[in-house]
Amino acid sequence: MSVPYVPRAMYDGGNHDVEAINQNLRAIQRNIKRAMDLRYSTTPAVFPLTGLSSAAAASQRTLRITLPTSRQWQVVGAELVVCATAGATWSVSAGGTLWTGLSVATAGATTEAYDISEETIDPSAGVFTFTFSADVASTITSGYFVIHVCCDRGLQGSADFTGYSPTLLSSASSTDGSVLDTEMAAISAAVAQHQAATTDLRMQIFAVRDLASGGSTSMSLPSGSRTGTGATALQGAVVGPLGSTVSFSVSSTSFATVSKAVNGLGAAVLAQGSAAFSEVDANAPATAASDLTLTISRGADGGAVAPLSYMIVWWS
Amino acid sequence: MVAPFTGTVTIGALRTAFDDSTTTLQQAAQLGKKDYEYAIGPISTLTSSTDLSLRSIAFTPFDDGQVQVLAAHGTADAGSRIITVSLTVDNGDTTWLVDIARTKSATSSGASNTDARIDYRTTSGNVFRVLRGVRYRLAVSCDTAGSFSNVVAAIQIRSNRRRA
Repeated sequence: MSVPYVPRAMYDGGNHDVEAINQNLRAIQRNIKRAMDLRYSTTPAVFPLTGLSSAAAASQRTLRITLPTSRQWQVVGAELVVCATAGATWSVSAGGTLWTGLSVATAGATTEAYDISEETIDPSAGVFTFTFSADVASTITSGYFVIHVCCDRGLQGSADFTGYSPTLLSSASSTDGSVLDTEMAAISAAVAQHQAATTDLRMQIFAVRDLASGGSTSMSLPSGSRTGTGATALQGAVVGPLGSTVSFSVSSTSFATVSKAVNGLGAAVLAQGSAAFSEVDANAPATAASDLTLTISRGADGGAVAPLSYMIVWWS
Repeated sequence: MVAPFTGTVTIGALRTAFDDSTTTLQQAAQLGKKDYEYAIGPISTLTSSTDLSLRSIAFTPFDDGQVQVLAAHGTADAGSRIITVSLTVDNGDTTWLVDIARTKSATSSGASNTDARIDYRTTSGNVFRVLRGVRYRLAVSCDTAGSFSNVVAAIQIRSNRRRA
């Protein structure tokens, strides 16, 4: 953004120039509007599809994203990449929306079939439900789904922005002092709203298929400028055998763990955990010891593999 | 902010009030810089024969962003194994990544975790962006005999807020 400034300097010993003050009030109005106009951020999330079979139950072919309470964002693009034996068409749809979806015709076990969409998808009742399917029997040897999401920080529930519109001074007025007080208070309130609306909303997906009893997997990512939202920091989903418990955690200065006992194979059991996290040494991506680690682990319950487990980490 | 202008309106108070608003807006704007990653993995076993489709991800950014780091790590089965992370434009077009070192390798010192990482957050060296609409490919490879296990590779990108 351009640097905020006011055009007329106020020098000690100078006279009060009503027009100069008014110019500055108008400039502050423009500064605040320009600052808040820069309100959108776009980030991706990747959901792996490697190993997914078209014969798998719908719960194993579904990615369900539940937005944290009172938060908003849109999917503004998506990409589907599939490698599988030629002859099948894999598709992805978004339940409860008007999204056209994506389809790719497979071209070989190591040949990428690719499609991209720039359609915007709004959630259905705060939930995105993406379902993957194929028209004939097929197993994905390598593949992933990328969603690109856009967040408006002025619509995150805590400080929806209203801006500032000045009441200008009049040289004929005898109450300049009180008018200035009112305007300074209004400016202060608008700037405070702008400060409060610094929270946007981004996400990271980490998934594993066929998690064995007692198994664990983790992914370490470079430390960055990122903080947990504090409201809902984790969402975990599991499709697994009766009695299995899968835990999801973010390791840093604090843990967030969500555990859910799975009551049998079927619809994914969703669990949402509330915890704040911040990185050990934020903004230190060149230091491996500062990496942010996401972990999915399962208790030693002795059951069959859990076909799908995934966690969604929300941060701002 | 307290009411500064009850009674005499001073130039100094006006100056302070105006400066406060511009300074606060500028500080808040800095908070708009956020980081995110595209990542591959974990790959259970990476060897020199692992197909590209199993050790890479192609993506198309929907916004410009400054590249912060390329990183890859994995556990080598022995010493002298080389792991490499790389970023290319998917169709081979060099227009968008000309003259910039886009790979980083590391050699294992034993059967241990090996980390390859290149930092582009520099005030005097090369900095570059990934651009909206250009399809890139992030890949990780084992360039020697042997293998790496539990391999993760990532590109971290920093974005600023923008207008719609």
